[in-house]
Amino acid sequence: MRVLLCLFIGLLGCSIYSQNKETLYDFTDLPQSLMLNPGADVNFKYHAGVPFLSQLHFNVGFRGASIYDVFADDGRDINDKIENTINTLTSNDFFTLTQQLDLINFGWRSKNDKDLYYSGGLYQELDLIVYFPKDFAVLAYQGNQDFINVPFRFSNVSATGELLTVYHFGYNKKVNKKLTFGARAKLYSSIFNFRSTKNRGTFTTIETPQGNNIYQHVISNADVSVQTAGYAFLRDIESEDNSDGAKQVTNKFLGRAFLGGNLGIGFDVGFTYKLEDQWTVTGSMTDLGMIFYTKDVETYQAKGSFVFEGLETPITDDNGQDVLDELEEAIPIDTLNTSYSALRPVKLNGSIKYSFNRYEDDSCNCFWDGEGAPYRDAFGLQVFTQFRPKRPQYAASLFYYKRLSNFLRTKLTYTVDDYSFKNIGFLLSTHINKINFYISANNLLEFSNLADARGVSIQLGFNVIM
Amino acid sequence: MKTKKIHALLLFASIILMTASCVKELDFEQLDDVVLTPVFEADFIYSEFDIEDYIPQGTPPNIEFTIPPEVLRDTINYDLVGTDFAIDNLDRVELTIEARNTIEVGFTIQFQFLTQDGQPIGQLYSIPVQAGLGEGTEPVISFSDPDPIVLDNATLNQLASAQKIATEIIVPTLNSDLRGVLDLRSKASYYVNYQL
Repeated sequence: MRVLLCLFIGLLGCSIYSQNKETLYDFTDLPQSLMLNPGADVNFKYHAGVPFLSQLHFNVGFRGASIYDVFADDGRDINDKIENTINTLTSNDFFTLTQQLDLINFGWRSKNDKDLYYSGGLYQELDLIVYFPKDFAVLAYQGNQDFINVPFRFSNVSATGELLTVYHFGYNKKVNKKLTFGARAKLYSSIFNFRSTKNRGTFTTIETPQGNNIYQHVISNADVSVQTAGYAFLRDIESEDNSDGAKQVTNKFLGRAFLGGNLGIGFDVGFTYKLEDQWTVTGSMTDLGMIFYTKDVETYQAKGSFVFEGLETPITDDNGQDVLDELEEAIPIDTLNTSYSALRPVKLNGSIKYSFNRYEDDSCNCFWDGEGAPYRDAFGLQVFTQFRPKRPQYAASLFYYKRLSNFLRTKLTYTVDDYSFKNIGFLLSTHINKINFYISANNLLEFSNLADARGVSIQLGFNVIM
Repeated sequence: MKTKKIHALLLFASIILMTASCVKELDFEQLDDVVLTPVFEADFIYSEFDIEDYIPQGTPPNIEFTIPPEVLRDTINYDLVGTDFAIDNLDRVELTIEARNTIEVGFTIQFQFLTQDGQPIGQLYSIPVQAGLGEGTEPVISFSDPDPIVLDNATLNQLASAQKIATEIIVPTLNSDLRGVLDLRSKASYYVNYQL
């Protein structure tokens, strides 16, 4: 158990962090920068990611607390630590998990138009965000005795999860010496989705000195729903208890991954603009899109109000009383099969960069005729926003780019975000012949103790670039 | 060859980084010590006995009358502990019972847990209610003795099959001039002790 947990946490750390890939953004030595900004100013002739290895992205983030807060071996009673953690966290704190795996990634420069670069591919993504259901954690951990007259809010329950594959194709055009523009079309094929984000209502135990009984337990205007797509089928398999269930699930998942799922469309757009020779501004908007859930859809919804004041005796009405029946009647749980659609989490990136220390014209053999020699140093500021169910996530980074040699290019970032105010990230990219290998990690200061980190990442991948 | 070597080195370095980055000073065995001890408060039975509702129509003033006992007897479904899981993880249940009386006679309220087929189980609980001071006065409040009634884990085990509860208000001979209300209010406090 212990080993597994350690491994799990280790894996979290070994994985790549956050939809915000601050080290990779505008790192135009790598084709993966095109996925963050289709208008990145890239200068490849072609590229091909090593299948399944061109990018693994895996992010885990905790906002508000870390594993260390609860499991630190510090001699304190774990129950106190859990209580402290629950009290510290708010319903705006969350746990996120994002994982991406590039299955195929390729690109080539147009033969007819040297200013045009095409790229495309297929990646798989898992995206999960669970807000801390503070009120109900308190209810479960402490009960309602100390919270008489305090409403427990159903809006605290908020989570979305999605497993999907994304087919994409983009173009990147150097419009003129100053402006590069790019756009990417995406086709989403959703394997599994659930969302429960618009819950309303409260549960309150009200003290009623003048009432029929000591309390009134009131569920007020409850409207709680969970939308699922791709779940009903799984449940059916489980209930049949088939021995080849696993095979069925795999087949179904693969089918959905290859455009057999709930489909959606989306776009990325982005640009790079050289203000002056050494100043560059970039911006991008990615995953502006929507998935339409029409297949295998089930929505569970409970709506209504209910008041319970105990059991009246002797019974005054003729019907007898069964609280659970009354509750079910007042707040029925409906299963609906209505289609729904949901926006993808839109991400915005922007940066301003100052480049300097240009290669002497003859000192490197690293650019095409007609192009300017690359700069060896750059620094600047990047911002990132991602839209989430409750409110957007933000991050801002200062970065320094250093091209140590043709073979070795690096980027150092300092990021302030929801998780941390001292997030140092580093990217190292080697370019040896056509073979590229890159590795990036962030939250380096926390690396000596990942459990105390609220999010750590390593990104790595292999490409063939010309 | 050189390329391969460098790549191998980088890969090795990343593996080292990943391994070296593992967590320290964590003790997941602490999970064994986690105890959840929430306390849930829930309404229990309630009753309103307005004497005026029980005086037979046409009874002249200042006449003694009795109410047949079955009128104020009742059996209601009440699943005290629900499941074995609940019994195993309940430290105790405390029943707080209060009776507010403005009628100028004393009563006794009784309740008894029953099995699904109506067999009494556990003890009979009896709450003496003091006489009130008459209609329109501040009610006289009586509590159970002991207050609260504590059903400890052993008692809860004994009451595991309780599915119903029988209640009765025992009424002495009344006078048709009496006025007022007897209100019974009660709650159950569930003290959970759940060890992971």
